[in-house]
Amino acid sequence: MAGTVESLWKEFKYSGVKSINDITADKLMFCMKCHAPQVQYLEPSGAKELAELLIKARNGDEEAWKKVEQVNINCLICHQEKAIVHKWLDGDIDRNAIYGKKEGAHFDAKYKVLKKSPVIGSAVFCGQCHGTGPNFEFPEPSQCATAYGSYLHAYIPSGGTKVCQDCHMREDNLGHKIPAYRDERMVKKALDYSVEAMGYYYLHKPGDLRPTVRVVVKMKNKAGHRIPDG
Amino acid sequence: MTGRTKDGKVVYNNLKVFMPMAAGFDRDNKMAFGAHRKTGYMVDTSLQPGKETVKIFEFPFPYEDIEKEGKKVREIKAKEVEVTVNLWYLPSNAAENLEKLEEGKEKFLFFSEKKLVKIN
Repeated sequence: MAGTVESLWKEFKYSGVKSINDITADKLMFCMKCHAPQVQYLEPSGAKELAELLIKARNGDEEAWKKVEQVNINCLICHQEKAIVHKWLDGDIDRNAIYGKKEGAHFDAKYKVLKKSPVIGSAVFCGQCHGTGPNFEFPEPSQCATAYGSYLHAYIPSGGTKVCQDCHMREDNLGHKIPAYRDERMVKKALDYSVEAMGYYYLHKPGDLRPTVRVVVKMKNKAGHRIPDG
Repeated sequence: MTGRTKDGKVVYNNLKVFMPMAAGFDRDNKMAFGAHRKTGYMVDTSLQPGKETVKIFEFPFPYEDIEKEGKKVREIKAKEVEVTVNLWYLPSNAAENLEKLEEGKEKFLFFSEKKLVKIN
């Protein structure tokens, strides 16, 4: 992330950013759209502070790292910011509400209303960040995660019927941990493999018998997207 | 994939990379790293959903052609080779750095299998 921030003045000569002093929130959004959508609401001073912290954290500053860690995908990102995908159909986000699978009261002192997100249990919800390809809405398109694109164009055509939340949350009661490659259970679910090996004599030409090791490795991807992707 | 003889000598080492490869700014067919540079994919060797990927490795048992009693003879130096197949996931970093990476943080072992291969 720090490298990307620095690229604004080191690599992109037309970005309008000559140094860290020119950083504004919109300049960070080609990463923060997914990594920390809340950054879009930062004042220029906040955006500059965040950029400085990212660079310091990258360089080993532990205090900076502790602060940067707090800018994360927290409850409000999924349960409010990203809860409505179809704004013409379902309306804009109610900033006083928390979104979930149903309507009603919410226990929090600040967010007392629970509203229903029609898509929170669907793959399209995760696809908002886990992407399809280049983010063309930006003047300089970024491309990070493309798992949703692989889901749409490879998993579904292959006959897949599950959504992200099935494997990463509902099954095995994984819940809000939403694990992936770090969890052995997920690796076992995602991948079947076999290794077979034999020795044989390959006859390259008359009189030239070559003792040969032959190893056949088969890997079946049972996940809903390419491996690796994000 | 690594092949070793009984004495631990590596007689074969091969690496396959499975990943989507993006060109930098989708031009010049030059692969790039970094979300701020990647645009599209030009090559994709990753494991595809619902599909089986098969990789075959072949290499010789160590042997030497010598002369014995006036005849050319092929002497097999090791009739047993242990092959180790590891599939690693590296979130970032080159596979050449594998030994130096911290497991559980910079590298994750998806599977590991050993087979003993013999020839008579």
